[in-house]
Amino acid sequence: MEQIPNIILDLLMTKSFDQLSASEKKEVFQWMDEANYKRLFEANQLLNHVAFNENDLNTNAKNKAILIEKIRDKSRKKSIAFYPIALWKVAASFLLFGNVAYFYLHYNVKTDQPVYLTNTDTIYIERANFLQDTQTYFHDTVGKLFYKDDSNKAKNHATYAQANVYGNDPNSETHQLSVSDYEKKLNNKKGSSIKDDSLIQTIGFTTL
Amino acid sequence: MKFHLSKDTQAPASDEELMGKIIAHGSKLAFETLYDRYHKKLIWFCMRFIGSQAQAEDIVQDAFIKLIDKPELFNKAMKFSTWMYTIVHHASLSHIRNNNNRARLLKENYHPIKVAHINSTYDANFIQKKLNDIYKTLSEKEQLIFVLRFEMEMSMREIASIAEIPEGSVKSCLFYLLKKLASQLHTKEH
Repeated sequence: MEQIPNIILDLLMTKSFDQLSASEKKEVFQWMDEANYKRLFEANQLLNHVAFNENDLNTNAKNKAILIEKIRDKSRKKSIAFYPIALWKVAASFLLFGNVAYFYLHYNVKTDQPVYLTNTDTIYIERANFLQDTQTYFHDTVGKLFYKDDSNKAKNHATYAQANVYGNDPNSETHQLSVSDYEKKLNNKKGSSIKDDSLIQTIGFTTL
Repeated sequence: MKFHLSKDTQAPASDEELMGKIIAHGSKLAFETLYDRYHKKLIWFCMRFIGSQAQAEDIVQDAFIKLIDKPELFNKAMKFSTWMYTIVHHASLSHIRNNNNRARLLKENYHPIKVAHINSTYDANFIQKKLNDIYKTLSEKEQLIFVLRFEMEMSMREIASIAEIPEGSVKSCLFYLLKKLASQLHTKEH
């Protein structure tokens, strides 16, 4: 097949001989004469009248309906309910959600109300007075109050104890007790009670 | 029904924009628009090679099914039309390889090349006859270029991409066609 510069073919497809510039004519004359150029240009004009008329072709209308139904099905499946997701992503999501929920519930419990944990009938408190360096008073019904952030760790978070003071306290008024008062050697229990023993509680009697 | 890019512009969406919508969310409307734009052209293009309209319709239907099933395979470096014609062309070639009746089918179902609105000294029927005579003498590759260029009105670059030959070869082939037609017309004149 004859090799011809692209420029000549481009000219044949766009410009008649009369529309060519002097330099373009010079280029054309290297390959053909004026009469030849005009014949080829005319042939190209005729070829451009070749047409495909869609109306000449009758096609099966069912084919379109089938395809439309198919794409409708596909877009339905593409909705979020059918969105494919890897199993590991589902598992990871549950794990993450579980962890967040656990930490939130476990560490985020706040209680403003004090929790009354311990009753002690008798407690000794040392108070300074003007006669002696220290004086021991006898008190009745002492409660130890805890403010907690977390019920499981209440004991570690006790901040102070408060006692209603009775008995031989001459002033007989409410005193603020510190935790250190409560835990002093003076108030150590004499012997061990089995009152709270789990076995005793299970059996249901307290006297052996 | 026309598919519009937006209510403001009222400009018809390009093929590539419509493909984007099909890829993104399987737009039925975008698909329908592309189907209406191309299915008859593709069937005609296919018929030119395999001869049978029914088989051409099957091939084009399969091509559109592939488009629905795997739209993400659309090569964005190509125009949609180039991509689709390439698919149908490959399918046609594959069909031809498996069909020994091609020559018979082409002969029995030959669809003449038509010309329209000739405003020249030549008779339209005469031109049409000459073109059909020339077309029948062309090689398979030349027929492909002829159909793509003059019936499907494609650019040189698109033809080169579909025919899988350099653009220069497409131009050489077209020049050859021009010379052949010019020669035939010249013969008649004398």
